[in-house]
Amino acid sequence: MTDHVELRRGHYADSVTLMALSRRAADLPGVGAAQVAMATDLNVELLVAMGFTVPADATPNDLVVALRCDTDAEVATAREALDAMLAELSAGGGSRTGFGEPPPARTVGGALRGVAATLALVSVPGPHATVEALDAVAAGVSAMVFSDNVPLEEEVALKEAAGRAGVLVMGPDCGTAVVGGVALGFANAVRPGPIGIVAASGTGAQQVMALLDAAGVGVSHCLGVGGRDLSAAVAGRSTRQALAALAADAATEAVVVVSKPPDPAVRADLETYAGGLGVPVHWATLGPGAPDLTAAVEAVLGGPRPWPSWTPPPEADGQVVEQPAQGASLRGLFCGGTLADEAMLIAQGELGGIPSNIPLAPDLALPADLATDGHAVIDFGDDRLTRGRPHPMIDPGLRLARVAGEARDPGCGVLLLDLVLGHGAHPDPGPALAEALRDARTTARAAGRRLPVVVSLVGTGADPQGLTRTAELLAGAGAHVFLSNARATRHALSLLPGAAGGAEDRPEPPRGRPAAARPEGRGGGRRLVLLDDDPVVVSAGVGLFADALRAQAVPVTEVEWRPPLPGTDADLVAVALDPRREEANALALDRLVSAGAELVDVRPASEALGLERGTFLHAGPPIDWERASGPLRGALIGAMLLEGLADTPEEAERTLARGEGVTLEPCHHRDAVGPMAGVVSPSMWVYELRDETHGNTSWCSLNEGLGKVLRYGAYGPEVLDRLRWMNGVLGPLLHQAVRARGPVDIRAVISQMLQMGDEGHNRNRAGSLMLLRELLPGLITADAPASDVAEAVRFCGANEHFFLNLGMPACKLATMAAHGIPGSTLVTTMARNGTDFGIRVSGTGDAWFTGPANTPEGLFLGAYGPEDANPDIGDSAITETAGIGGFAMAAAPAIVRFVGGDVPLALRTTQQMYAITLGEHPAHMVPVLEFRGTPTGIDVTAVVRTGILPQINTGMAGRVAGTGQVGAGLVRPPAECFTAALAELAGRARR
Amino acid sequence: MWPDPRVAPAAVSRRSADLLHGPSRTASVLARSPFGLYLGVGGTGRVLPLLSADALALPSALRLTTLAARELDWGVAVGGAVTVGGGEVLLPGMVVRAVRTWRPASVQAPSARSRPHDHPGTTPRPGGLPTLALTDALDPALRQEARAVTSAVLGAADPARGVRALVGRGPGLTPSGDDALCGVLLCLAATGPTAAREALAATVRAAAHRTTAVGASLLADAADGCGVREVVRLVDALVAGDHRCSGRLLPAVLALGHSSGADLLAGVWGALDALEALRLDAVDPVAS
Repeated sequence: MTDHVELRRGHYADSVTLMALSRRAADLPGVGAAQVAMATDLNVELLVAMGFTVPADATPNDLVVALRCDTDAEVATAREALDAMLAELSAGGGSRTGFGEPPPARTVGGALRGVAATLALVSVPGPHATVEALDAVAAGVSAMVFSDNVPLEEEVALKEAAGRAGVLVMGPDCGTAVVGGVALGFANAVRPGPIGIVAASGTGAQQVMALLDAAGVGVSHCLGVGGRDLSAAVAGRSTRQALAALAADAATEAVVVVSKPPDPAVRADLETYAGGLGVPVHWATLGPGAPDLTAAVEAVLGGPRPWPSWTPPPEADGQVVEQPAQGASLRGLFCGGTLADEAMLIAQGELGGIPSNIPLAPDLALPADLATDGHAVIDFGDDRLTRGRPHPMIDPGLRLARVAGEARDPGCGVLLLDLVLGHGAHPDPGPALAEALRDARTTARAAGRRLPVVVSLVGTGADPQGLTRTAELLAGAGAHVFLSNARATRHALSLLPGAAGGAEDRPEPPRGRPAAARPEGRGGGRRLVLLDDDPVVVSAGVGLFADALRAQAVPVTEVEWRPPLPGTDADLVAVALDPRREEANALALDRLVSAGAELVDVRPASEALGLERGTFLHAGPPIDWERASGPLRGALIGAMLLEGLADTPEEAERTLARGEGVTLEPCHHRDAVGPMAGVVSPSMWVYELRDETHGNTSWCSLNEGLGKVLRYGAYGPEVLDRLRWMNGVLGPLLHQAVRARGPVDIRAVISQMLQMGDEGHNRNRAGSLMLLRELLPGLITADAPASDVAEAVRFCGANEHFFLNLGMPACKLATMAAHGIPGSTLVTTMARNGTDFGIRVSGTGDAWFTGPANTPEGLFLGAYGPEDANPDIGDSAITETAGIGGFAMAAAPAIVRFVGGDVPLALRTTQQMYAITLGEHPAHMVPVLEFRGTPTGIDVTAVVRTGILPQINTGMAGRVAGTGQVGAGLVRPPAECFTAALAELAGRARR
Repeated sequence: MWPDPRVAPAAVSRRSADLLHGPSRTASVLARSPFGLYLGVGGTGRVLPLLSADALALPSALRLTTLAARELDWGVAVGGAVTVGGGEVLLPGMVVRAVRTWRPASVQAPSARSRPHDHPGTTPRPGGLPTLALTDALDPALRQEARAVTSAVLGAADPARGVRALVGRGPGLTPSGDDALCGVLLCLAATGPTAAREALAATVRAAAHRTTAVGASLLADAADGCGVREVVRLVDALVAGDHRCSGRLLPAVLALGHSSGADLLAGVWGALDALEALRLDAVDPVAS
């Protein structure tokens, strides 16, 4: 026996698909057991119970492949086959995209940006469903939430939001709906007609639809509302919305509300509400003393009907009417919870309380092993029986085993079963059930017993499984088959020994108001796009649902959904429900993209920033000498020498280590930015940029060029000579030039350079030349020796990154404008100090959220290699924060020759960043994407939900102080910055 | 478990369901574009548009809602023959099968509209709309003719002369005159008295032979209050006096077809001009 267990990190598929795949894998030759599942706690438990050892570091975002075979060779063969199946999965769905095409959306919100959908179908695991459904609500789109295990308070909040937005939330745990003739989830093929259904019960709604269909009456829409909607806590929130929508729907002439026993006060409130809608509303809400579903449908139809039934042929058992042994019990084995409820409500009138796994009263609960020697009704669709396996409407295995068990139990007098047909159900459940029933009856007969079987068969003539065919199969196996579950139950009771007889002829009289004539006006109704327009669906979760919709000729956009970053579920919900978020983010984005950026002056840092002697600014979040990286140390040493605070590098290092008279402070704390090490000392000259729109100012040092330069940690004599020349000659010249010319619009230069092949972070060629063009007249006419002017122009013109130090403060001005808006999840800073990567967020004030900086991957200069590279460093990621740089790579495909990768990567990167940004920049556009605005305004929640981290193009500094630049490449922030920021946002939202 | 790739699921308009699910008939391809085929169904005088997912959803169309134009090869040329019936269209390389029926958008009849919008202060006032962008887009002659036709039917006069002048006028599959008349018909369906609407519909039907089969089919849709969703929503918004909503919808309608959207709007505006004149007459005789 050989066990093989492997983890596939980051590989995701939905549970329904994986269950099918596990089944296929288990059937492979030589495989004894197989399980392919996401490593959730539940699945790990299941795998351990199967005897597999699961690696301890497995997370719910990892796919576990577990195989048990006799030999290693068989494992190898099975793995190969499994790989092929998994490859088939990832190739399916038609979601592959070609060159330059956008990647599939990763959230419902992302998908809704690209398509005018009428419905979002959410079937992701319960803890993630609320966030996806809220995306739909925020976009003004109704949602059907198939997912279960959604906390009650989330359901209430979600429905509150839907009410405010005027859309409908169907669910959570909504398995059945029909909208405009399209079946969603488990639903029957019904003819179009005048009856609208509001359903807090899936199988209940299917029973009502099947009966209406049999009576020749069609359905306009069946709107599910979730099983808890009529509870006291949820208070019928979605039922109200659904009633209002159906009242305003031209195709709907009467409405039926179907539910398990509702909260009486909620039911009464809803009745009052429905009374004002101007459309007759009937109540098929089960409960003691209330009419059963069949009676409720008959009330809609205006009188009793002869519902279809199928009797077993006499030759099947010698006689049609059977009587079981004295003292034997009713055993109901159900797939539909509401059908089980209805059977118990009817049966308890004759038999007293019926023990069940979904009891009508707590004292009637069956033991966990579901053993019984009396009457019992078991719902095999109950959550506890569907953990880790498909619903019994799809996988009948568990129930068929129980049928065989009942056949051997002398205490079983009558078997009562339901069978639900329609879309979503097993493609052909009749033959297996018929065979099981035939076997059961044979077993009983061999033991000298009679075992009558009654089946309530819920379906329509148009269902793909075939109603009549299935009914005849079951009757042929000896079952009494009824379309009405109530009739089936009463018939089963009549077959019990000592039955009063004739029970089935005495249906409960309908209660409720008679169908009033429809008044002219429908004052309370409210039209819903979902019912008005032909369906266009966005689907997140189970792939089979999307397939089922495509088969019904419904346009579907599938979300390539993945679980969010681990441990963030509750925080994501809290932030998604923060009522300030939408407006705060809209405001933050608006401020970000509307910020101006004009170069107004060039001055020494001591003057512009008030920088005192001994104070050094640096890039990234706060850090001390102890933890500072090589390049930052090198730059600080150089600055000490430049300022005359030390005579030798060694002395500078000692002073810095002691910290005497030296203060280190992030540039960002002074509204400044610095590339790479970002070290600014008092004598250095800085650009001064103004955003007149928001009244902000930002500063940045002058660019020294590439190679051995201070910002990359070099501090040799040539570095210091250059800096002295910049302080003495270049700075004052630029000062004169800017003063002479007047403000230079840097934001406009950025917009233009993106159209000329720059991305504004690691490619600044066009920007640098355009800036020089603006400054040249002022430089030429400056009061300085011609040789100085010539040297300054030569220096600026030869430096392709000359513009970077202007683009960065321009971006800083944009993000400054967006900062400090309570509730906003927009990232306003991304910066690194060579040790830590830190972010700041608009809605969390001055707090930094940090994690260890990653080391870029890319191309190296000369003989340098990956081992020479220092972790990510510099404030230059402010460009990506403001929507250019890595985010605008598609505008600068030539950048890949500098940072690595290929042209498709450049295009894909920009396309991908739209998934994590709040909007598009109105002025900075990408020509190759049809002048689409660059993805702008990183959203913390989007990063956490998609796991897509911002792409940063960056230079690489040498690890050892004094080295300088070693290359350029691509890097992403550590995920924990974003999860920590989210936790803070969630904490503030909860306060 | 996988569907036969040669069978494409489609949604048929409720308006064409009887035709498609009827007996097998030979249909000829009247027109073809990457986005669809117009099928003239033999012996019925009716046109069935068969459209790709990214085509405009014409009210009578059979729509391949999951296949875009670039994924389709119709495999048949103009004048070619295909078979329509039994719920399917048989093309040389593909079977298009209707698996459901869709409801085309139709304007809200006056009786279905909620009361608050109906008091005189909020009746449609095209003058209050963003007319600046429209001045260039709308053909003034077409608008005037549409107004005249509307005034005629509202005043119980015979609109036949005006209708005959419009039906089939202009180039293309959907002539400009037809588009304008569609605009008038939709406006009347949303506002007008039933008698006026029916009178105009009958006159248009009688003149339908003067235009292309495609044009006649769209006129029949409009006479029943049905149209492309964007247009229907705009007419609803205009009639309800919801200027913000109509302003938002206007660009999408103007973008329809080569000039179809603008011609349709000329018809809508002409009809609204006539209705407005009538309202002013009723409220303040001096104003006219």
